[in-house]
Amino acid sequence: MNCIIVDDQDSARLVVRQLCEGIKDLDIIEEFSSAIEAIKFLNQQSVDVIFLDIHMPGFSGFDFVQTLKSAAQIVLITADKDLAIEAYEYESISDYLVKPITQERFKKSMNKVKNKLHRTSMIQHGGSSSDLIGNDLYINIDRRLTKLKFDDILFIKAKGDYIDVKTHKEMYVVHSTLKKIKDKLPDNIFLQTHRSYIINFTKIIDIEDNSVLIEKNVIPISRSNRPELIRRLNLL
Amino acid sequence: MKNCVIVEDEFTAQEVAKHLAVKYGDLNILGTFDNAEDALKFINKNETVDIVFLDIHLPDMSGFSFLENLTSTPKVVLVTSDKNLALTAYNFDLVVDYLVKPLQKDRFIEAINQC
Repeated sequence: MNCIIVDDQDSARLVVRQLCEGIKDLDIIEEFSSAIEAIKFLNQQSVDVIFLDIHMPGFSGFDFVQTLKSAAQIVLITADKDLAIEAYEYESISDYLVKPITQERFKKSMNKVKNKLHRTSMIQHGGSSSDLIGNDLYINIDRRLTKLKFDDILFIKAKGDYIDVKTHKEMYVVHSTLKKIKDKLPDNIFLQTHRSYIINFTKIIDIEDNSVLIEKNVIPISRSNRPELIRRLNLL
Repeated sequence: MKNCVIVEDEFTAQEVAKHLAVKYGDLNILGTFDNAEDALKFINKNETVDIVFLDIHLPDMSGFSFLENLTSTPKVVLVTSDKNLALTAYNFDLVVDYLVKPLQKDRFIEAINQC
């Protein structure tokens, strides 16, 4: 796993570096003393894990998490015990470690991260991401072009520089944007319901005021996209 | 469809969780328990439990002791009115989310999506 450390204090970064040394297959590729620098770096390069301090001058750890457009797992490292509840608000935060951190707890944390990365799986990807051929979409996963039938796609969710493509069985994380994939999808079955969602509307189970149900997923409908959805339905 | 169990000793909170689980989670509720012991017995011999909604303050033991006594590995969503235990919760790998009562629909859906 590749990781970066973001902490404004030199001594704190040293501690994390030492903890990392105790973990096999964990490589620190860069360290940053400011969140802004780290964000610039992450715009160019993807990493698996980000060790992040919460209290930094100017830009807090939570500001950083909100700004982040990466599928990386975040491990908060802090002396502040009081923000764990806030940390649970962010799906990308895998763990919350309070200093001093034992090697044992750190190791446990890395196992957790590994499992989570594995579950989100297939995150790594090559260059271009999708191409339209017939009834299928090819997505680039692990430098392998994987075929998805349009009809198997339930919905697509935007997540920063990535999109989640959900089928009945799998969730693929692809390096692409909603706009790009929208151009590749046939608009007779796909429809954008929200800034961050495109759905296969043949898969809709039911529709409420501001959400649709697709299998067990509740997808939001924004007010501006609702009329188009209703227009496309075969309403009684 | 995923199977869930609700472990909650407060009647109203139980009802809210049931309602949200069925309506927005599309979950199948295998059982609702108002104490830890019965819930543990059930979950430990029922491998089909995918998700456990767990109150932390239960009459017979804490939610954390409950987690230590689990022999299976369902995903756990903690549901509590106590905001001060989130840090402890991070020590348990099974815990995917920590929800503060009263349960909010949107936050509940987010939690289920992670399970």
